Amino acid sequence: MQISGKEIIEAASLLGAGIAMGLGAIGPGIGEGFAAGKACEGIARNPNEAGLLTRTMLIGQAVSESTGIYSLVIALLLIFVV
Amino acid sequence: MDVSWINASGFFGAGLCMGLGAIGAAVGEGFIAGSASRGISRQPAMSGDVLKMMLIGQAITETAAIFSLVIAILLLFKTYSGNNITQASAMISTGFCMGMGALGSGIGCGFPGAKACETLARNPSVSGKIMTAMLVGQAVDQTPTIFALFVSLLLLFMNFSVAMKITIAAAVFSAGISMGFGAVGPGIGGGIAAGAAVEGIGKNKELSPVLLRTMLIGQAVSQSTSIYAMVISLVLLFVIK
Amino acid sequence: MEEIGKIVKITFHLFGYNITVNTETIIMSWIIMAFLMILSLILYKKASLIPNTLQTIIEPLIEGFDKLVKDTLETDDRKYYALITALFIFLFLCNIIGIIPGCEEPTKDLNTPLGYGIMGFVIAHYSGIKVKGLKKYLSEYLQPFFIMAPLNLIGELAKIVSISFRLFGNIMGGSIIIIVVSHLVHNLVLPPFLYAFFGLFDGTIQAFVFAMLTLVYITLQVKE
Repeated sequence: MQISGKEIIEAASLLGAGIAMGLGAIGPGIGEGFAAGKACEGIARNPNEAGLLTRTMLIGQAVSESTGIYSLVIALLLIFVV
Repeated sequence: MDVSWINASGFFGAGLCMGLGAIGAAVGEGFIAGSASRGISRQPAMSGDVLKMMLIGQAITETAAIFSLVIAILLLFKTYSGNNITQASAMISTGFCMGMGALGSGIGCGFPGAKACETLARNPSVSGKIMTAMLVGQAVDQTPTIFALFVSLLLLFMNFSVAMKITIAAAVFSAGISMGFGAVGPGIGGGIAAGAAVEGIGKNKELSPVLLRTMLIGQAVSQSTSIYAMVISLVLLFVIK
Repeated sequence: MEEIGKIVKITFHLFGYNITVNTETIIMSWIIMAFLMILSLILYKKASLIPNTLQTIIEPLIEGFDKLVKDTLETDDRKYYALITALFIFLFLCNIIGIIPGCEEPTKDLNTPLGYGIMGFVIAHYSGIKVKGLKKYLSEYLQPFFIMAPLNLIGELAKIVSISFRLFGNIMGGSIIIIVVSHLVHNLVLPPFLYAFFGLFDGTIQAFVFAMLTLVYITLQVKE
């Protein structure tokens, strides 16, 4: 079996895509879970502010999600562009 | 059994799958049992109810390890269609994907179970609502593990008897890594959210619908990263030629 | 060990298409449906103010589900109550029928949970469109940015995968583990503990989880 240099680069970039997306999904997953947990605690303590707390939770989650989206973009770039 | 090097990769994958998959469920079930013991020591009269809650919570937590066991058994007894490097990398990838995928939700499912046992001992009148919230929270928390099971089954039953090509082997391996690692974070995070919701319902049972809804929305958003990981895995499996 | 993951099926040709029918799954589903229909007819005919034996078993179940659906949806509307209760009772019988020798669980075949998952998905989204209107329903896919629309769509479709693979994985996993353990002890003794755990205990919990998640998906669409 003959492996050319181009194939090695392609294989490495595909492996890199998997590692980027996989490891990149760990942080946002845990962080967004923390946000949701704290929102639930807050609602349990002060139910009148449920709407405000849910909105704040969603904004916080959207921001911490952005690192996950960066990973997704990098993975897609590695698959389709490199 | 005619053992060749292709079987060796299957055995390696099976070991990886069950070994990693057992970690999460064991940690999570330990959490639940610890909290149940603390609850009973505070309120010995509730021991029967707390024990029942502990067993149900542990049974759901066990699901992740059962998925790993099933994939490991399927890997051990599979008859291989191809005899090339792609097939070998698919077998190891299957094991890694399911093993890592079971780790996160195993630990995560421990949090709602533990909070449910503790809260039940403190406030016995809400047992039905706590149990519903715990079951739903744990079940939704397992979604990333189920994505990992889905990708593992695809890897296991796809036909890889193509010509030897190192890029496809790398893509197949990468699909397993992406989904496996991608399921860890959302599994733990969803569990934290579910644990807080169960505790809140225990404090004030009138709030159970709004807390359940907030928990589900929070879990759904935190699972979106595992959905990205699944999308990348499916792209790697079906688009790379 | 050949029986692992095996499904009995027949294939026939019709108008140029290959149509595959999983006979065991369909026959077992029909048996359970017939049993439920006969049972409900008997119960309907014999219902009385002073409950008889069967009534005392069934009534708490029905009342419990009525309360559960009311609490979750926060409404006295009974529109979805019959759907959720029927889904639970049917899937419960599907999951535990394996403990009768010679019977196979219909839920062991992926097509059964997938069918009910798609049914729940369609009902949830139809109710969502009906309650909120098409414009508000579609605008929810553009949250938080409009670029996220395809990912939101995938996220919704992934719910079908998660709800159906959860049930399928648990029931198939249980049956595979029972086959392997029976094989390891050379079929001398059937492992009754495993049947009790996977058949009765896990089967009941998973049927309840499936019904609850269908209800939760409907609630998320109908509320706000």
